[in-house]
Amino acid sequence: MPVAYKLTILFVIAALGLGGCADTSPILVGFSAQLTGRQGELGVASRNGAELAVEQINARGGIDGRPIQLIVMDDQGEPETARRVDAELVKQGVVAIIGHPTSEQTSAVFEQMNQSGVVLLSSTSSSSKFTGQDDLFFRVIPSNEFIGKALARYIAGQPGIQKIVGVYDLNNKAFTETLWFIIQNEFVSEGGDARVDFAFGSGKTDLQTLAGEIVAQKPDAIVFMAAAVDVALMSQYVRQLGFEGRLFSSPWGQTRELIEKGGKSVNGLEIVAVYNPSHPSTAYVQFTSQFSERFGRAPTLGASHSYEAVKVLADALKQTGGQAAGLADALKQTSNFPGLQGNISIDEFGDVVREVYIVRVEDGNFNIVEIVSPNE
Amino acid sequence: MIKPVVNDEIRHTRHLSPLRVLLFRLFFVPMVGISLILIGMTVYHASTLLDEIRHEQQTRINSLTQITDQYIDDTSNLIHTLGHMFSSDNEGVHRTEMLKNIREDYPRFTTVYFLDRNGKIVLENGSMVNMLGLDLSGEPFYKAVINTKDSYVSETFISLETGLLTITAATPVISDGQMIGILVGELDLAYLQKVIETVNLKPGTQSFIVDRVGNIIAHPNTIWVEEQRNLGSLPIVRKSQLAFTTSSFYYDENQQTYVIGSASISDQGWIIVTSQPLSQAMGPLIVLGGISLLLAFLSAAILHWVQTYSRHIISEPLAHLARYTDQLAEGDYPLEQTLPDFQIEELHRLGKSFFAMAEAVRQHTIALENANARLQVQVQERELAEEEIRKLNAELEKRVRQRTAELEVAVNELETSSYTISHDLRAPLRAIHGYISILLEEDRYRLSSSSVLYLEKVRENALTMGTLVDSLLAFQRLNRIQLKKQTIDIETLARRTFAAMLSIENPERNIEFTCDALPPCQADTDLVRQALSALISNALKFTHSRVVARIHIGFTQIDGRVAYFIRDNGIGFDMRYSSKLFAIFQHLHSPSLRESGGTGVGLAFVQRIIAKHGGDIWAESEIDKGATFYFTIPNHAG
Repeated sequence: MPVAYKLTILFVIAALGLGGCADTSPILVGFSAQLTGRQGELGVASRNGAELAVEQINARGGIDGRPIQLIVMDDQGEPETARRVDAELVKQGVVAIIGHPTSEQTSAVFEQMNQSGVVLLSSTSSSSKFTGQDDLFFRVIPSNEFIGKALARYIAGQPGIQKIVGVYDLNNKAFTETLWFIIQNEFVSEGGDARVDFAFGSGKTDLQTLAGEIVAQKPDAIVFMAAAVDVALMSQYVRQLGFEGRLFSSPWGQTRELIEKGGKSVNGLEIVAVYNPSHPSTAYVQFTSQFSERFGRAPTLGASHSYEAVKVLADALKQTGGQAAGLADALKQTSNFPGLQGNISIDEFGDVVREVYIVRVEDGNFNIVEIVSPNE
Repeated sequence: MIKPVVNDEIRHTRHLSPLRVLLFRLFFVPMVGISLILIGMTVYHASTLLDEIRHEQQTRINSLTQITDQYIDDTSNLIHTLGHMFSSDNEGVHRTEMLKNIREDYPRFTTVYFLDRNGKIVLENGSMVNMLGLDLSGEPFYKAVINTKDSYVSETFISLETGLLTITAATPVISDGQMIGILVGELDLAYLQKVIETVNLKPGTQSFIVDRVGNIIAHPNTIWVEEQRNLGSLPIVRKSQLAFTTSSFYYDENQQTYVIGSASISDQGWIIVTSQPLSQAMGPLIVLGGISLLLAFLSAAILHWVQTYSRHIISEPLAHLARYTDQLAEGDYPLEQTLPDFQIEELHRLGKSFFAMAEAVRQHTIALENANARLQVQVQERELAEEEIRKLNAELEKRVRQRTAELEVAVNELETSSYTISHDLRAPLRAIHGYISILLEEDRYRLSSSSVLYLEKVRENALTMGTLVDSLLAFQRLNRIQLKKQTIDIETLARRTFAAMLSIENPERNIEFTCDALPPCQADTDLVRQALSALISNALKFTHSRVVARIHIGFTQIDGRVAYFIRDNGIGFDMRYSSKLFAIFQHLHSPSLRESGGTGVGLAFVQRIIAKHGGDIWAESEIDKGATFYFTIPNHAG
């Protein structure tokens, strides 16, 4: 056979099937959060934090040469949507899902995810419903147990506060309700009065009317367990009604929106925080500048925690070679992982052990007034 | 027998190509040419197409920039004008009415509200919740307007009022030089999207706007806007944050490539991005490329078919024919029935011709074989004839030998009788001589003088006759004697012979004799002396008339043989008669000279002696210039 003839055949074959190389297919990681609507702030910040982490990991060569691809889903704050989008993510073959930032949504998919066998790693779901269970759920935020007690003890320790009123959003009751019960119990055990509470539905309940009912109870302090936008509005309303007592909030309220929408009403409001916006650690300072450069805004709780969640997940993925198999065990091995604000250790139940802060809003800033360590 | 030619041998002797390779080249070259032209066209088309795409994109970006700038300017001017209108009216009822009108007249605003100096909402229109009294002093737009006392367009945020992502346009309301509040309008981003969509001329193109930090403000996918997607990581956005316009390719997560261009809107820092899937933009090129590829495939297929078909209809039948030719060369005549199935007329004719040729060769071979057989018969006949001739020759030779023998006997008898006659003649001659001598001595006085003269003549002739007979006898005797060969010092022999001859010569003659040192030879001494004697005598005789007679004996080399010679300065002879020189009884000279002595036997005698030794004798001369006699005596027996 003439050489030219052979060459022609080779050329045709080459033209047909170019390509074929080492496995550089992306590792799929899901992300589920509420991204739209009035409570979308936390989800968007969480997504941005996760994206920044993914971009940084991929820029350093990904996991064994494979990049991470983040598939973002909007759960719209609806339990039904959350179950649907997570099922969709599992179907697409993600090795894990980062989400959901709110406990109610996490609760909605909890059983479904355990059955699917895919790891669910939450940045900010702190509900104690998931505490102490050996499951596929992991988080980088301490549970309500610790947060609630820390806040209750802090309030109890403040002079002139005897009666507190709890206001919580039923849209995220998995978080808010359990947290309130813990605060109630702890505050009562400290000798206070925490019998009155108000449950509302964000976007459904008229907050102005609600504010009137709250103020009518004449509490020494109000504890909000709601999204920042709702905390901001209710703070404005109660102040408009002449309420002069102290205001407290769950970690959920610690976002930029609280300050922007709260105006002067949120001045002095105190939050039990799992996040210190002015933490001095090198890792955090670096993160802050990177995030600001990337998104043009300062990071918040959601951004920082989902950033950490992705980093913890990537660390575990490196141990499993990018595979979903063994990922839960690898996550449980996480010990003293350098987080943005101190080390992160995950216990055998997938819960994290780290310190919390009491933060006060002062002139548009979140200032630390107390640090509560987990060992106390 | 001719050795059949093997293919390999042919290949080794020269670079020969099989026919199908030649055919392949014949088709391959134009096909490659066509493919190359198509590829060239595709490449050319690609470059021009890319330019077109870029140009078209540039036009679109310019339109988008213009229209978006227009939108921002309009909004700023509008809010500014409205702010002025607000300041001129001090009554709240009118302002409420104005807000309502603004909302209805300008659909770009979802909500409009009026803040007092402290940031509290005093008037509002369009919100779903009760906003009156809310403190918005924490909002960035409030701070910006308070600080700059100028209109401000914010970044995106979620509207407290609608729960949608929005941008606010805020302007200070100034009355009597005092800022009495801020007029705020929340913009409907979906409206902005509709505005930019008026520029999307080509199907498949997408245009969208991101703000200075990469958040999507307007996008055909409104969900992305709502989700506050941030595209700050896109290289195109990063570039646009620095440069005015860019154009490049972007590969998305699904490995799809987009032609993407962008421009930044200078005042606001917004970035307009327009994209089109490369596959769509390059549509015509893909069709052309597809056609090129198809043609390349087709070429390959045709090439393959030509290969196979040419092998089937040309190469294989020809190889078949070649095998037949080899067979033919080996003398094996193929049958026409086995002719391969040629599908080409020329080849079929070639096959036919081949078999016709094979038949002709066969006929010729048969004819040749017949002729050969005939020739063989003729050769045999000739051989028989030659045998006959040989026999006859032998018979002839035998007869010759017989005759020769008979002749020799006859010659011997002749010689013997001649000798006998000569011998027998001597006695009567001697008697005649004796009796005449007696008569002349005793009866001289009685005889007349004439009688005496006659008698003296008779006696003289008898004496001459006697000498003649003696010479003849000596000559005859020479035939009978056996040679007694020995090594002779021929020089000494010559000198002695000359000395002996000189003794009987007239002493008054002036004779100069010289003799070189002569090489010896194997010969009969007695005969050689006689020969030398005769030759010297000859020389003395023909130099008689010379004042000084010069005789020289020497030798020379002729044809590797030693030739002795005797040279004189005598009267010489005419070379025309040299052939008669050595014949018996021949005289070259006048009778006067002959009378001076000589029987006519001398040189014949010398010749016979030399011949008897197996040598040669010859002479060279010129009249009156002397003569030279050469002779050779071979050393071997002869």
